[in-house]
Amino acid sequence: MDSYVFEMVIVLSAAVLVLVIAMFALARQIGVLHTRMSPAGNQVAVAGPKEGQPSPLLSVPDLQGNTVTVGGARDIPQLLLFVSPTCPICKELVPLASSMADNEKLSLVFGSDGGQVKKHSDYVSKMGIEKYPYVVSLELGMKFEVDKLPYAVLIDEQGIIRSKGLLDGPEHLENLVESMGSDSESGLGYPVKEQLIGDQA
Amino acid sequence: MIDPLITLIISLSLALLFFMAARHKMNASRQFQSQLAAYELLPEALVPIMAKLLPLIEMALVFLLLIPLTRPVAALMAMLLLAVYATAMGINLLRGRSEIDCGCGGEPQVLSDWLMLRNFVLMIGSGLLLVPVSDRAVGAADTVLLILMTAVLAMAYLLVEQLVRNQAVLSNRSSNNG
Repeated sequence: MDSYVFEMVIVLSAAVLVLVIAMFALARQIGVLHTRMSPAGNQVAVAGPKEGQPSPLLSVPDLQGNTVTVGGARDIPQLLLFVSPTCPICKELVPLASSMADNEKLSLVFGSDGGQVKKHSDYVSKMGIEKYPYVVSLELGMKFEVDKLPYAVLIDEQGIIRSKGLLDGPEHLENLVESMGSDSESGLGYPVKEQLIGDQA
Repeated sequence: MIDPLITLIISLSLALLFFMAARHKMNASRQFQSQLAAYELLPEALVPIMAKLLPLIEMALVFLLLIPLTRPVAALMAMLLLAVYATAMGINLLRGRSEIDCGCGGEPQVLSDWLMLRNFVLMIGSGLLLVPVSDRAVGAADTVLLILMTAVLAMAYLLVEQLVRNQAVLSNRSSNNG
């Protein structure tokens, strides 16, 4: 190759590389802005029954009319996942939660509050979670003082709350459930994501 | 006939891509297993096996792509694998289950037409590896270009990924508000 042409190609390739990196950085910043604007964030769950304390015991009907018992002694741990048809992150978590429930032998209960029952049953069939109890109950959410969604509560076989909190992503739900296996006293409590995505760059 | 440099750039870039993909799947194998299960295409018993097998196939592709002798085989395998992924996504998009995680690795990503388009572009890239290469000595100068061009392609790939992700966040929000 002609050495002049070759040198120019190298220079131009380097320039294109710089431009692509710059564009990537910009796209990432835009992504971070979107994330900052999204409804959920990192918040420590302080309200409601504490980890390590017995869960409130209550029986509530699910969408199909069956009675679901929350808390108390049982065969397998219970995972309460509070979701809503209008919450964007919930859509990511619901499929993960249901497959985790199958793999980890958890009794999964979805909780949601208020609104038309129709909306909830549409959501249940859309997400394909018919086989899990889906409870529409203000009482359930208030007992655990759920204020933001998606919110998870993990209750062990003795009816003790092992961990709970607002979820900000699939990894978070995994941590929450994994902490069950280990013997850490209070579960993972609240693993805080180091800053937002862009700051790693 | 295409220049050997083009073949080298594409195979190195694809090898890099499959390496990253396989690494993600191996590091978060449990997560990948649930992502795979969420596709609802495989019988339950097969899911854990495939979740182990897919990253191994991807890792094997990395090496097969880099060795000139096995490159055509690797190109065909890569095309097939990418086509399988695209089909799996397409089926779930048709089912209206776009909210499942792509399982592509990294941050969660919902399914979209863009991801399928991405796979088709990658398939075309793999296809180019099957085109016969012209006979030319590859020198040190080509190595410099190879590295630069591969870096450009890798960054461009990350850029597209980020834009698709941004777009998903945006469309998700507008559909929820409106």
